[in-house]
Amino acid sequence: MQLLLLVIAVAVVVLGGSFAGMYFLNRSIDQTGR
Amino acid sequence: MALLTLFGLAFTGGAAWMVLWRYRYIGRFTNRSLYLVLAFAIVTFGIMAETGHRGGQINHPEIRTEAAPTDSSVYLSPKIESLINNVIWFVPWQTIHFFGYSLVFGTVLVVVLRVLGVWKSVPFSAVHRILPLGVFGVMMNIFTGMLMLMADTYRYVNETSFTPKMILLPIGAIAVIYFSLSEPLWNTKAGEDAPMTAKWVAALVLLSWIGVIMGGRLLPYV
Repeated sequence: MQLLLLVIAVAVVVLGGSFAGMYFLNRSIDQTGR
Repeated sequence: MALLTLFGLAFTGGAAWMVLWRYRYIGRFTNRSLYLVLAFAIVTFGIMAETGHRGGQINHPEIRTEAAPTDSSVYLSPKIESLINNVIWFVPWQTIHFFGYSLVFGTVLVVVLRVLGVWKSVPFSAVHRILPLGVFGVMMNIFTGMLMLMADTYRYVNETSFTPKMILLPIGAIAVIYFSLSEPLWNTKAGEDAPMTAKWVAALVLLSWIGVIMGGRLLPYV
């Protein structure tokens, strides 16, 4: 049970973090403009 | 200490690449990002100097004045080793590694399919936007892979598929610089064919990552 929760937590953090990072990077370049 | 050096290098390289990636869109380097990379570089330099210093002590025990501590648990590496060898840490850690691969391979596939002409309807600049996802994946896997390697070094380095994996890995990883900086590639509009050079690079990158993943999967068995 503990292992399952850990793996789920890891998945949320890792994938959430990556996509959030992507989102904010892309937003930053859109706001700054070319 | 060498592990910290590697992490420092990964952070410095990752941050520097992000700045280069952003340069494509905003046309300049912002002061904040330059200082961030500089800070990473300075910290990493310090860690590298200390690593080199300690390396010298390993090779010359005769010049040491004080006795070396006999309790190995005072060092960081054995602690990490025992943690990673514990299933409750190893499995989530390996899960991160697999997600890392998925991010890398997903990004590679999108970029490679566009460059090879399968998705000509999108301009290359559209796939350029998702490159950070692949870089996140590579960084994640450097961290997780390195710690897994540390936990059972002798087994991994003696595996047949370890060396090919480590040779193919930099080829696949370094190519992101080409994809993010190439001018002709950036100018490839929707419906246009990518330059021939880019197609060769794309094919090489795809094959490299296929090799890396196969090598990684074969590690415990060959």
